[in-house]
Amino acid sequence: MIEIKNLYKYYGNLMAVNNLNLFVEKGEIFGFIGPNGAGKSTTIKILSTLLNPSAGLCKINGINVVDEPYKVRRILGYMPDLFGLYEELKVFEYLDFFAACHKIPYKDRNAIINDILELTDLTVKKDSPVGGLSRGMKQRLCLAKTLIHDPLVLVLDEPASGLDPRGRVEMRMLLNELRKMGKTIFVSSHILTELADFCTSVGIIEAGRLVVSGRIEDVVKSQGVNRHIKLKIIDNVELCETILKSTPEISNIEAAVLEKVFTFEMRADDQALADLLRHLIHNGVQVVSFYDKGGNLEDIFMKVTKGQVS
Amino acid sequence: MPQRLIKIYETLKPAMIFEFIYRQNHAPLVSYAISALAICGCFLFGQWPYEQEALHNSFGDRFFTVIMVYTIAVATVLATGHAALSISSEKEKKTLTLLRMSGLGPGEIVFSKAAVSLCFTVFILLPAAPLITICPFLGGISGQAILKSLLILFVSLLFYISAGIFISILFKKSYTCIAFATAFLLILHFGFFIIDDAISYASGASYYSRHNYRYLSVFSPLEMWRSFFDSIQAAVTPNYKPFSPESYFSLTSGESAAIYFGAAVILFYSGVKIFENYLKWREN
Ligand SMILES: Nc1ncnc2c1ncn2[C@@H]1O[C@H](COP(=O)(O)OP(=O)(O)OP(=O)(O)O)[C@@H](O)[C@H]1O
Ligand SMILES: [Mg+2]
Repeated sequence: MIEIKNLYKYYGNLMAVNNLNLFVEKGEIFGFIGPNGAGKSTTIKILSTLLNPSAGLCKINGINVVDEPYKVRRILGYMPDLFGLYEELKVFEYLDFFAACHKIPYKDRNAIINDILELTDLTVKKDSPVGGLSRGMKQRLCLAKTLIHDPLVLVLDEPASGLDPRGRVEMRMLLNELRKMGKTIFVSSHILTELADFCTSVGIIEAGRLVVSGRIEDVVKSQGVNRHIKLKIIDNVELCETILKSTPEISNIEAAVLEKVFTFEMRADDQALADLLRHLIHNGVQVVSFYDKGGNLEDIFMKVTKGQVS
Repeated sequence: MPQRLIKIYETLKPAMIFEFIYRQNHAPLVSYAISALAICGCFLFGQWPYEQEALHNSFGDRFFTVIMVYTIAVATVLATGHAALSISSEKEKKTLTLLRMSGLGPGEIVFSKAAVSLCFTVFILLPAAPLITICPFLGGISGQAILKSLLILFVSLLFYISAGIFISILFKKSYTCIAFATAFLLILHFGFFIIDDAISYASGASYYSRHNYRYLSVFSPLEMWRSFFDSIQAAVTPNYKPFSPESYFSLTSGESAAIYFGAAVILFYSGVKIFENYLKWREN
């Protein structure tokens, strides 16, 4: 759906994007992660036909963004990191204006806008002026505006920046909802945990260079980072501890004896985890929960990036 | 054809609604305009004078001149200023990014912005309409002359607006655009006279003479309006001899208006072309 090949972007002498190659399948949520100044926004602007690449090829749904920007704009929804809204308009009018810009016939607009307001949870604010919305609501309104022409691909530049924890959770739920509707989503962020549990694939960029990319499981496997496991049992604490300690892949065991909870890191694939669990139960440890905490992305990120800025 | 008209209307409508009623909160202004139109209607419903000769030596023409000069001055400044801010302010408020992504073409954006500026100016000036309309009743000027003056005003507004939008496309900051628009107006109105004076002086005339030769200043809007008001005077004053310095050629107000119209079309077209490039690639 999204294809980037050998992309370069220079600002004068500064190389903001350096030989970037990416491929995002239809229906995926792609998390684009990188520290400040890594070149995320630059890549996203090139993808959304707003910036000319210095070299390289970008295709959205097979359409070249350089050659046919207007065609791309029709199937792409772009949400900038910094954006202005027409503050004097009311929410409904704002969406109606953009619906008209997209040449949506007058008679269909009302229904479409109501649907989108419902989806983005802005129905109560339908008749409020845009200027009076809170930051999070403005963010959602901008997303609503992005959805108005029912784009196939959504390109969102830090949609959750400036939102409170609840707002973040809601934004995540909204993106999941959109994914279920079959949209391909390309979302950038520097907050990893925010992306870790709902992206299907990720790309990590540093100083304009893509350091890792792929489906999350593959990335985790290929980088060989440890998985964080949380284990809660009912009894046999000592036995459990011996078993864990005798397993060579396990490190950093922390035991909370009173709560009967162990946390440890394990360098293993799914099969090895399943084997460990079976082994524990087989030996009479009564397991309440055995939970892969994730957080892996953070380790990968720390491992692959060096804190460079181009 | 109707299909096309509807399409233009559909394109324009959001722009207008957005700019007028809500963004600038013009609701009071619009109602003022409507009542002004109603007053005009009452006057027109009364009696339109058709015996011009009978009305010689009355003061309608002078009254008209005063009102019209005011109207022209306000219209010029407002139209150019509003147009010069139209696109640059969107750049400044970062709303242009979203507008670019909305799939509107450069032509549509520029056209809607121009239409908005035109309507804005017309709405602001509508209160002058009743005053202009009573002039024929005071005598000394015909309804036709008034219509002609409004037509010329309209055409020159088109020119000012396309120039303003052109400036607005070129620069990023709205204060830059306002500065350039002001400079543009000054040069357009007075610059030609200074150049002509300089040329005459260089070729031996005395510097401040009113009888200097005329080269470029024929193209100044001031000259266009002068020749228009001369023609009004000529119509009501027997043996009227307007002051006019020598020139290679002179233009009637209609011809000047035609030139401005051509210039407006060229400016508009090149503005759209430049904007097209801008929309494609420049970041804002
Ligand atoms: N218009 C510009 N002119 C010159 N340099 C620029 C411009 N925009 C970005 N850069 C440079 O390009 C590099 C990448 O910037 P970019 O905005 O893509 O980073 P980012 O990954 O989006 O960072 P952040 O997480 O802070 O949003 C930075 O070093 C920045 O200074
Ligand atoms: Mg950014």
